[in-house]
Amino acid sequence: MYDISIAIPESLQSDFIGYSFMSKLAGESLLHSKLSIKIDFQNCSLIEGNLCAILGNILEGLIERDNIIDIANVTPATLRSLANNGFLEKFNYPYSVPKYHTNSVQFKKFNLNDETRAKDFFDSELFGKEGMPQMSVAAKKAILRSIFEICVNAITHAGCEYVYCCGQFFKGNNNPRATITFVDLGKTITANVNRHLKLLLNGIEAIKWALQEGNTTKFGDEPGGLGLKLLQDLLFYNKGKLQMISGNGFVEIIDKIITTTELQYDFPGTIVTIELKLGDPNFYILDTEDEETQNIF
Amino acid sequence: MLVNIKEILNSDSALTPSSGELIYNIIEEEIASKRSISLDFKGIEIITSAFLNSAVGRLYSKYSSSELNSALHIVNIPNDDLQLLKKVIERAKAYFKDQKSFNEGLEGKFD
Repeated sequence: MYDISIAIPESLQSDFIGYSFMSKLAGESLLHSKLSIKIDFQNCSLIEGNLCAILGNILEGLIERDNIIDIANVTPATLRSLANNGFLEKFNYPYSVPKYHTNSVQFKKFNLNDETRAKDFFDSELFGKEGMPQMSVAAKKAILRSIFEICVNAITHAGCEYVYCCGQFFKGNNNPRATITFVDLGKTITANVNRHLKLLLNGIEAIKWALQEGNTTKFGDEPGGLGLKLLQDLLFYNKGKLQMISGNGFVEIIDKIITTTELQYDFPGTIVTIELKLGDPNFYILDTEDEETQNIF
Repeated sequence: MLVNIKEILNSDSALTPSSGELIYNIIEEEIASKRSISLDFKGIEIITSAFLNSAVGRLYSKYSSSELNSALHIVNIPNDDLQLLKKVIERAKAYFKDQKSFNEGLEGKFD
């Protein structure tokens, strides 16, 4: 009945195994066109909702290449999380459970043409949810800023029209947190950095270069290289986690400690996953003294 | 001239390099005409470094610190955004200094 069946594994989490699966799937999917493809969730009993950003981006790419996608056999164990973040609705999978938005950041693609709308979306998806820990205005602002630094980076450097995102909240009293994934299927960090430096760095080396303050692959009269530094600072103060995957590189930073792993299959784009701790409402303390605005140049 | 960023962008967010370029063009025109300009951040809720690099950082490719200090003024900017602006300025100065050294190095090699 189908030309191809893609089996979603039993457990899909934001870790090396999960990203390895996504990398292989994303690479292989680029070769498919005009096929009928079954996305089979029969064996899947756990999927972290934020990974729907990657899966959704891959599936939309398949649809753009004239494939027919059929999501099948979603089990009760994963139905709720896939329904709540809007993923099943997006890909026309019929379901009959009530949809609750409170534990997810909706699956969405952005192009940032409407900046106010994008800001309002994250404002409401992150901070407007029932049961969310209260956070200072400064902390909310720092989080929103970092999210947009990621989105702008993706659209500017990857050369794609859209960046996809999806997120999951874990709101229990023990370690409440939000995990949000952003993904683009554009030029990899490896390709951009190597073009810029005229070197042949691997994925890990390229990501580590891009994470250093002041490093940018922009040419010409526009400086850069601050966005990823701001993101790292935020996650350090927040005691959160940063994961970046591009080409064959997987880099994870927790408490300024960098862990790297080489992926067997190149991811044909860039994934950024952030884990924000929600337990400390005042994690981002800012200097409240008025600063001088004269002669700052 | 007072430039209200929110009015120009028709948004309470200043996120992208293309939004920054709109502001850059206004600033550049005023400074090139020897007029002073005040950038008003009132009503702007979120700013990225990408926006500030494009709107302000690029100015260092054409103007010195003293020229910018006398012509460009910043008003109604919250402290955290001002801290970000100062980082962008610091980075832009280093970037164009490096770029100048790099270009001078190239000229030396190919003279």
